[in-house]
Amino acid sequence: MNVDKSLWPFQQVLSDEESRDLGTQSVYMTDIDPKKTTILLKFIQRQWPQQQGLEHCKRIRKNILPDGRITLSVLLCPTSVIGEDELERLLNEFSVGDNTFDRSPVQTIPVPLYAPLNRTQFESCKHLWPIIYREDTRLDPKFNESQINDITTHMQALITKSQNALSGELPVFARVVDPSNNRIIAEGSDTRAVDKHPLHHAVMNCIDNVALAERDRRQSHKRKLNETDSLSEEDPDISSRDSTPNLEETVEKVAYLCTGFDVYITHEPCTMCSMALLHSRIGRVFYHKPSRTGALGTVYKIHSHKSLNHHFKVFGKVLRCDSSQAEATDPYLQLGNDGNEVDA
Amino acid sequence: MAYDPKFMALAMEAAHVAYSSLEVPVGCVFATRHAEFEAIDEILSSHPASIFRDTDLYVTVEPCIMCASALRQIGIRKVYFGCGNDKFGGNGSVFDVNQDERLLTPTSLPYESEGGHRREDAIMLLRKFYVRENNHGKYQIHKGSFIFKVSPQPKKKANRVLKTEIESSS
Repeated sequence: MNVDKSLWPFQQVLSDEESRDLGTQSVYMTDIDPKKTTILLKFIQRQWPQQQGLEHCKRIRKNILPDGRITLSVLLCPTSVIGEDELERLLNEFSVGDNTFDRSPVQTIPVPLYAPLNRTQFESCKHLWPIIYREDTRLDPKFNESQINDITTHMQALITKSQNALSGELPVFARVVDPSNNRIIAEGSDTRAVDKHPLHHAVMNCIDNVALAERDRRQSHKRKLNETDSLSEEDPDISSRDSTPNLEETVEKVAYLCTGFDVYITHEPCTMCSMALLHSRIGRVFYHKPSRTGALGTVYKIHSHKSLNHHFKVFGKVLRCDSSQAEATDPYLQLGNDGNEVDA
Repeated sequence: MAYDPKFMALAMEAAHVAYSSLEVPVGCVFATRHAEFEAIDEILSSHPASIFRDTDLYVTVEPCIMCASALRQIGIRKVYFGCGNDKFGGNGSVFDVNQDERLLTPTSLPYESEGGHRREDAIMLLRKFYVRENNHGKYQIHKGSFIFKVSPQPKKKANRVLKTEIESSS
């Protein structure tokens, strides 16, 4: 059974589009006798064949008056499209002969500027005006209890390593896991000091180690294949006993280094490391502590940026109590001796 | 130090070498690893990291976001590049990693960056690369390479035509 989102020991880092305030735009509206609706809709269709940014708003709102009568409020167009006097004139001009309709004077009302992408956004804007919103929960991330346990275990292991980090090195640790079988593929820690290399961050080292692990796996597979070849002459059934997946099949599946893998990190990664995870096509990222220069939520949201060619889900504050006091005493990574702030 | 066309010519030469060896023709790429990373590792193998304070980078294509951040963290002095990188560029195209105030730390100072040097040459070389049919080995895996990309099914690009007109940069 899936664990309710409110009980996750972490928070999803949503894209700007998913987390933003939907804002408002001013729109003209008029109340009309329900029987005359088609005439007014004809007028709207003729004036503004395009929907003018109101695609997420229902065109008509039904009002039930205290005496039981029903009126309809109809959205006309955003106020940015036309002046109110000009609109009144056009409506009057149209309302002649068979097209005659009674209506209230044009009013200006606020409606949401953007379409809601999730329930939170929908709830925040639905009081303004009826909104078109179909909840698609298939796209929502889901975790069952055992998955939450796995996530907790991996992160706890990294936090423990971080607490025992070598002095002089930054206490940043990363671990790549295949979530389909919970197997640890590779780990990495920050080695900027010992390597005298300013780019040997935990995530970069971890990705390098994934590449090494993959190379070893291919080599050992090749060896196995060779052994199988020599053995199969004696025993024709031997090949069916080889449980190693076919290399070609795996390559088809794993076109990039980290496709489908999760990475656990003690700190929100910097811009370089976040982009390296994108280049290697990481599946999901879990980090413990946000960083001031972090690029998966704090400064940028590289995982959900429109122009970038791979998107992935990010979960922050894993196992981290969200207290402002903890943030204040430990606001960013400090480099051992000089106490200078650095990137994770 | 001002822009020196000699260095961009060298970067362009390196890009041509990459092109002739069927690699992405950017700066000094010899493997699928990003050009900047190869170069940085090579310099650090024989110099202290402080050397970057007096170093300018000449690269045929705008550094990607990852490389732009790496260049900032090693403390590069200035970057001269050829054409912009609309999809991944970190020196102005997608993000301003080189100048973004929010990324400021004592070990990550902003750096200047200047594009447009031999832009047309860089664009044409990239276009030639992408038009050329992908007839590499089926699985191209380089030791220690960063991207580790394989192309399971090389795409046929027989219908592609090399476009020669270049729009002016905006």
